[in-house]
Amino acid sequence: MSDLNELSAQEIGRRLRLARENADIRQDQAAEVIGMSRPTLVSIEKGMRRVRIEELQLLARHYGVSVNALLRREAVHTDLVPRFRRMRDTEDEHTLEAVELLNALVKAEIELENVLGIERRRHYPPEKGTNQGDVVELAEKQAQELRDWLGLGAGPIADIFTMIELDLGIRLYQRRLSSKSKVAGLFTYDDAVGACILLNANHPLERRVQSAAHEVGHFVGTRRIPEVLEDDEQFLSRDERYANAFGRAFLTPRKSFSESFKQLTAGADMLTRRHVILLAHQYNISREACVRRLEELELLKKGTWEWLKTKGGIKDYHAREVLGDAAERVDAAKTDANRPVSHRMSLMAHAAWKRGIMSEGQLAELLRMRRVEVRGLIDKIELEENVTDDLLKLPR
Amino acid sequence: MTFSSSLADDRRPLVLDTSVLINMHACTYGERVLTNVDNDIVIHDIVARELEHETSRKNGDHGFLHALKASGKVTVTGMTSEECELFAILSSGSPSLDDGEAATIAIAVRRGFRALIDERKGRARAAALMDDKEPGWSLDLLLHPIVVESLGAHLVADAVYLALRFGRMRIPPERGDQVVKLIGLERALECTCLPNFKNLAAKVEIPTPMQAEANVRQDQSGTE
Repeated sequence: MSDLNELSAQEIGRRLRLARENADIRQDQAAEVIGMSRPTLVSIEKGMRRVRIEELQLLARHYGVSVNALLRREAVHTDLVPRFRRMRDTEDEHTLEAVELLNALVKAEIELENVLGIERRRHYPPEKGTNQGDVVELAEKQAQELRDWLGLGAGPIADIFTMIELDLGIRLYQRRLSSKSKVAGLFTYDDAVGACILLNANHPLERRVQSAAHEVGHFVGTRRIPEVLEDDEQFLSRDERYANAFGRAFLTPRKSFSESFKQLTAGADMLTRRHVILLAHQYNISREACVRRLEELELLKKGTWEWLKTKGGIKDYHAREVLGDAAERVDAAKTDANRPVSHRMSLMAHAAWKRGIMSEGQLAELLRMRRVEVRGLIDKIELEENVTDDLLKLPR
Repeated sequence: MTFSSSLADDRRPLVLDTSVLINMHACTYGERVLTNVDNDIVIHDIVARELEHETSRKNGDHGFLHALKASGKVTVTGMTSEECELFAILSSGSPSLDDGEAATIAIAVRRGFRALIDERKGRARAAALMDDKEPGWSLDLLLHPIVVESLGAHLVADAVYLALRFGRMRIPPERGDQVVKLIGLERALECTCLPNFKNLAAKVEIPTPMQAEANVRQDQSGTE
């Protein structure tokens, strides 16, 4: 029997348990695969009995992972999938798709960062809790506190995605989910992995901005509870109402947003589409979110948005008439989401391959790509490299 | 045109890694290539599954290996416990190998077979374990004298081109010029995976993909 000395029996056991739970396989089913009793499998997973390589091969195959992914020292193993599974009352294929995608992205990114020696800086404010007082007031207060903590000032947030990634150090992914998915975003946190957000890149930019702000609300309020944000959620828990209110207050703070609206409408007797278009554009939010926020702040009468909708709504061509070329916002994240893997992940994968740290087979499994696609990704970056000029050498 | 293959005088059974089978599959003549080679050919079950994952069931690609197994030309094998031990070391050590490469090398080392691997990390590890005797390449299979005799130089050139174009086959850098001569400059310029592609493109002033994109953008802005 080979001893798998690189890792302790406890660590291999932990990885096997996570792989089994990720694959949604019960202990007795797994035990049957290796012709053992359930208690034997339990003792393997607890590290009390060292797994044999032959058993490991069988289990890996059954769990849909490679032996190398289980034994590679650098591999990252998370419990994101089982944690979300425990949270949901019913199995929902779209949620599962999103959670599995987030899990794969987190694992790949952390492993690539680790092997390349990249350290991600976390800059997390303390978790605030959401249990005290009126939830909307609490959210408004805590959104303002986060703004102050980040030194954002009172105005619109130009790029919330960069703020989330660089100022807070949250792992943020924007990838396309299946076209029928109702999932707008996911949030999860654990001490090892940190805070992670996945946004559905099928959604328009303004919508993703709102989803991002909502997920930041969960991060600030109750970060230890994993969260799925879906379209048209009907029954909102206190945490959800908090995150919604937080998102609105974070993007459109009561004071500055009201002031901007008053400046725009100064001298006007009636609200026009132009007012809404300009204000929404200024704050990088959707026209609907803009009007609903104005209703909430009692700057417009309740029901304004519904009334506007019955009158044909405010369409993109209206926005183009008002804003001209500025109506077409650059959406780099959506373009990036059209690629099989993000630019950053591609560059890290190439660097790991170039340095001989990872093979194309390992990268294919890690990035969930076909090998020929991995070869294509590597070749494309190789062709762009100018190896001869010292001037282009990066400082280390 | 002279062809050279490190397998020409090697009678040992061949153990093929996934990185090689992908190219055999991409070149469309893979079944004929492997059938013609005299050596016995074995692949590990893991490699067979990796290839299945790689190829599509929808368009019939999946049958590539099945036909070779059915004809008895390719044997899909498991590992002995001795091989398993080496497999475990290779897939868990640092740097580690993926399962297919680790199984291929374990079998080759323990049984004294010739490993065929194109992936550079696997090749380096295999060479270190086999007294620096290098594993073979996909290119060695395609340019094997028996294959050339059977398929003819024309079809061999087609096969090499297809493996490069659609499988992004890796070849030894020092054989880049030889391969370009074989498939012709025009077709070589479609194969961005060639180790000498940048030099070729520069010689004939063909833009790299990034330059080509920039040119298109420039043209578009010029016509607006």
